[in-house]
Amino acid sequence: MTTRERPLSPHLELYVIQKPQFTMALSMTHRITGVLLFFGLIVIAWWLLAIVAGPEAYAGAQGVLGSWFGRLILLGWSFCLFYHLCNGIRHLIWDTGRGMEIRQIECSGIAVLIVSIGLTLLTWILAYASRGGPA
Amino acid sequence: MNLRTPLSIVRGRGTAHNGVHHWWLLRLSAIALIPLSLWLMASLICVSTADHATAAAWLASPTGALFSVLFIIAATLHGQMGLQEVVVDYVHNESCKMISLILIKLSAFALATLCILAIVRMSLGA
Repeated sequence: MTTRERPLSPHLELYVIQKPQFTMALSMTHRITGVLLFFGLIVIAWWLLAIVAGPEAYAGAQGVLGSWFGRLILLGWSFCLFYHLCNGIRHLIWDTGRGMEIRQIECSGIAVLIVSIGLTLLTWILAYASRGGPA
Repeated sequence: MNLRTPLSIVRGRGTAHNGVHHWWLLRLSAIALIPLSLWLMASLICVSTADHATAAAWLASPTGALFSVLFIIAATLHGQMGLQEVVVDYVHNESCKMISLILIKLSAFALATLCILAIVRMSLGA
């Protein structure tokens, strides 16, 4: 039996021939941030193990994560978390059948971007403010 | 002779015959992760810049241990299911797909076990 090569979902080729869409970029970002967050779990595991291993191992881990490069990566990861969280809530609302009009989808997309960037900034401001202070 | 209509047999089933379960568990873990990830970020704001004693006390505390174990379970479950969804959508080579899915599942279980053991060890004061 011969099978015809059929396009498999998601039909990316449909989008490629059109102009780039805002909603499509948001959707792709949701998946990309999700994949990155999974790799973030490896760092969380490493950090938890460093706490268990004792003060020396913890200081080592803190040294790596606290370097400018470590902080840059963590900044990216915290944005990934807040973006995936906010956009995930957007997905959960869609699952109830609400907010599916194109205008609503674009508005909620902008809201997700603003809130996730805001939460990321707030997190880092609070983290810097509490540095050295009581936990 | 099967008297069920074709529609009743396929209703609620995708080609994998258990798509609804995957869909439902992904959403359920997502809902659980809303408060858990906010809790984690709030904790990390305080703990991440503190010394080892503070971090150890945080992880060993009843709430710290409880919520971090819950977070790890929900996050590894959700992450594994999400990655699986991405792989089945974009990896069309059958053996590549199979190997990726196996690696994702095994690494998620390994990560969860590693983290939970670390947290339990801390909270039981080993």
